[in-house]
Amino acid sequence: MASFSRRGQGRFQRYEFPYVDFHGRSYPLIPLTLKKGKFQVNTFALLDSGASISVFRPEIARALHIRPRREEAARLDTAAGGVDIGIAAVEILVEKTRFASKIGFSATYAANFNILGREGFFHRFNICFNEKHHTTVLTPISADRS
Amino acid sequence: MAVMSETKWLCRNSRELEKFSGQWVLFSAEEGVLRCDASLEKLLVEAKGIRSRPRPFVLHVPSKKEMSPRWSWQR
Repeated sequence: MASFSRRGQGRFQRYEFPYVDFHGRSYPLIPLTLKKGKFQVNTFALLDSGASISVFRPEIARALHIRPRREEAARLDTAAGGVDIGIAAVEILVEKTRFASKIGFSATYAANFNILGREGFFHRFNICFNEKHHTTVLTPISADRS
Repeated sequence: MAVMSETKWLCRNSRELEKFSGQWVLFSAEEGVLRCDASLEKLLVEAKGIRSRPRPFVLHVPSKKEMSPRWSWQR
């Protein structure tokens, strides 16, 4: 087992986010900032442990002046059929935790929320969904411990 | 434990925001809803004229139709 390091960001730091209710249901939404070059957007995204990749609404890509790379495309299976997703490198900021990641965008598919999937996000935090108290707790994992 | 003020504000006001279903909302915890529009692009252009610190958040408020669960009990 790796020894615990006192270095790195986030020691003892935890972020707790209450679930957000819409239309009678509760959702684990978290606030974050997406940055691409000189452009940035503060928004919310749904933590979805059942999603492999993150997919944000196409309007967010346009706001960041992103043209997703088709050569790094993915295929997303939805209830309505397959959707092509372009991948873009962005910087993500959650509270004081900042890291580079990749987000999928589609010109044709817009989920109800921006979706944060496992790849590129879940390995940055210990994530606890508390369904009893309707909270999500994120504990940053330092880069030197991963 | 840190709880961001925007999340607290959103939790307190999400029911109120449902009237903006299908639109984008620009808001801050201090000032509440600043603007709403169906177009995020248009909203962000208008937001440039707003002096708000810290920088406000944008959220697409889902409509009830969009929120149907992937799996649910048949009723």
